[in-house]
Amino acid sequence: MVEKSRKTQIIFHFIMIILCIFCLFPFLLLIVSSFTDEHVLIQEGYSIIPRAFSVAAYEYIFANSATIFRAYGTTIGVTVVGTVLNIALTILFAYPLSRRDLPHRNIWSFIVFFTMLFNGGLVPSYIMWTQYFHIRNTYAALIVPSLMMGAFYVIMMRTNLAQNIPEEVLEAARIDGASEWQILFKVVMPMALPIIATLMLLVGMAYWNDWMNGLYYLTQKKYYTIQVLLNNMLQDLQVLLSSSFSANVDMSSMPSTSIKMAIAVVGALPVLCIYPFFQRYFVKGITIGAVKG
Amino acid sequence: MKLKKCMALGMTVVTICSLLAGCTGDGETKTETESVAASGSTEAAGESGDLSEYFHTKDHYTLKVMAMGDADTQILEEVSAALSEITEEKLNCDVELTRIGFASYMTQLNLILSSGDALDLFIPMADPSEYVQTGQIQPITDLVERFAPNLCSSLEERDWMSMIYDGDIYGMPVNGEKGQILGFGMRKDICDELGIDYENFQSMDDLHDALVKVKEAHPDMYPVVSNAGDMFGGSTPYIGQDSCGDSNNLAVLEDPFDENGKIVSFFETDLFKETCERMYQWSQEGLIMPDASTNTDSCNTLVAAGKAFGYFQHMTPGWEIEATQNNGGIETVAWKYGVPTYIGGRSGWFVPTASGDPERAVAFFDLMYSDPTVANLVINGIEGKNYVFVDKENGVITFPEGKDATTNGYSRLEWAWPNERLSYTVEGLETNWEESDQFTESTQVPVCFGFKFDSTSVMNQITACLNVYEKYVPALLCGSLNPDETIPILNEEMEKAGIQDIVKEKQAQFDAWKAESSEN
Repeated sequence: MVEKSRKTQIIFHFIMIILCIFCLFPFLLLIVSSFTDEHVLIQEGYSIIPRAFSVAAYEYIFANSATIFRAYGTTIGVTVVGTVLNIALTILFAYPLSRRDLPHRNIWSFIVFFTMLFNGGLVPSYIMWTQYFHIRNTYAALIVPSLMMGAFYVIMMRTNLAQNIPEEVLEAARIDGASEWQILFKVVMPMALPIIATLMLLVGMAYWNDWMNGLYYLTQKKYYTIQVLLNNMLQDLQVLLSSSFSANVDMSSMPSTSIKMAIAVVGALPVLCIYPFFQRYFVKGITIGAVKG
Repeated sequence: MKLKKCMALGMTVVTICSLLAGCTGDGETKTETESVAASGSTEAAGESGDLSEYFHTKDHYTLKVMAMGDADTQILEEVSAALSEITEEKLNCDVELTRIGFASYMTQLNLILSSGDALDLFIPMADPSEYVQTGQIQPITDLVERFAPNLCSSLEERDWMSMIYDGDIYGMPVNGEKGQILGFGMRKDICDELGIDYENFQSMDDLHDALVKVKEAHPDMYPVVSNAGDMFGGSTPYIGQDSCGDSNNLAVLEDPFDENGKIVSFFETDLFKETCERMYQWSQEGLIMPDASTNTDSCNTLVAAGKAFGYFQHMTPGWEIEATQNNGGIETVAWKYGVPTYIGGRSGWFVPTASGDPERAVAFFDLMYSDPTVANLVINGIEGKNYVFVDKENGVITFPEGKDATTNGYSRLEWAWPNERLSYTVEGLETNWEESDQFTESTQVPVCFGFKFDSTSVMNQITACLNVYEKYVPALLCGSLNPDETIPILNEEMEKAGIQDIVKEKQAQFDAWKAESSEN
């Protein structure tokens, strides 16, 4: 690579630092306001330096730990199981598609492409999931609807495998007497590690942040994930105000601002901790195909 | 198809006539209504025996009921089990109760209704006209009389009016507060401190003077705040007009009580102009919080934090007690202005078209409406877990130790259930139903009460107008925009969006409705 001049470096660093501040500032504000006293928050507004330090919001979370930690556990469970299942399905679909000798390859590809571009819409999906698969009010409601919705991931992985795993490697494996399963597990998967890690990160994030499935398919509180819980807390007031019952309800019983912030912090924390470890794969997984191209 | 409609119409006439016969005008003395009610209840007892026999000849069924509010799954199961014990004997069915918090209630309900999922009885969160227009709920005209005898015997004719669409009864109205009035709520301690005589305000000018005093004495406090962006309570800024047949506030009656009133564009009325001008003036004087239209805190939160003096809201009798509780114990008083308006029975319970057994659904509503045990189960949950008695004789309850309204596991939304009058009252929040009845009697009935606007033919115009509405109206009503400049722009954009089509269509339907109702 050509050495960039010092001037350009400074300019690019400057731009990056500004962008970084744009990203970090709201997050910092979120954390600080979760530690600020509720009354002060309303009286003085948000500020970067807490005017009155308080851990009341976190005390509330721990006092309601039954609900919140249950939701937390559900989120972790759903994310782990969902990610593993999703990646397994994606590999099992994408790997055959990447092979040129797959019979009717075009039809399979078409199915993936078509469903990526067009889907059934909300109500038909709802009818299918609730009346034929009966997933309402089960943990499956949080996992299954997102499982095969990742046509994009399948295509991404198929392209990546097709470009990075030379035909010769597979041939060599076959000559050595490996079965198709052995080729998949012992040859293809180790070679595809960067893209698998990248997809795991994407899928995992999608599961962690998902609240739509909870909104549609859950009516029982015990199945709520942390995101569903948080979304409900945030939306309650807004939805109520747009209904005809706004005059009837005691609005003060809605969770306060600092509690919302604290739950948002608790919800985002694990992602923050995990992200750095996946990051190196992330960059590699996305660029590797192009570089070797 | 035609025949069916004719028959339905015939049934409506019969039902309404019989209702009329049951309840003579409300001017008549109370003793008569009481005697009617008394005879009604003995009759009902006999009839419910028949009903139970009737249902026992039919197959066992599980009734699915859905209502608003958060509740723990385990508590819901217990309540459902307790309900089923009662309904097993009376209706030969089990009850499965679902409660969903406000945030997802509408989404869930719409999904269930449009997918034709199993549901037998629910309370909607929005105007039910849409469900009628799409055929998602069914008419129950010929069911209510037989299967809801207690409801029929206690309702006045006008209570049904809001539940009738195209001549058919679709819903069963709840029994609660039936009137409301406009008001301005404020902190009592500051009124006392500054000698504000809130009870004898004559006009908005008096309120204005009081607010100026507050501003001078407490510069760190906003004299007027909005409720999460809404100045006049809720998304329908009811400032004296009547939205007339829907809840959009686009084509309205400027004076709800004028027999000869014409439908006009809300934004061309003097009422709207005056209100916006007043709010703008107040806002310029610093009497209104600066970012009122984008404020996301509720007015109660702001008062409780000592940041606000007062706010506008719709009020019912006993509002002060509730407001004091909502404002974190800061004693709140109110100046009530405008005309006490009859709104009775606006919310009701409905039976989806997909219901497997509308007869039992109606009968179960009647049970919630008339049976105190059932009513208290659905409203308050389980004794000892969700509430404890303070005074069992008078039915006064409180939350168990260490719990409050948000953490007791079964949120108490008494107004969303069929009959809140049967419910125990929470200590400190006792509702005085006599006062409420007196207030209801003092209310005036808007001329368009019972009129339903069928918006199908002007759907596009409504969507376009609502977009324009969102752009300007909340900010105008919060005094953030200069009305002299903005109202002309608003009206111009409204014209382009087709507000006159809505006005014309509504006027035509309103005229037809008036002609029809005067015939009866």
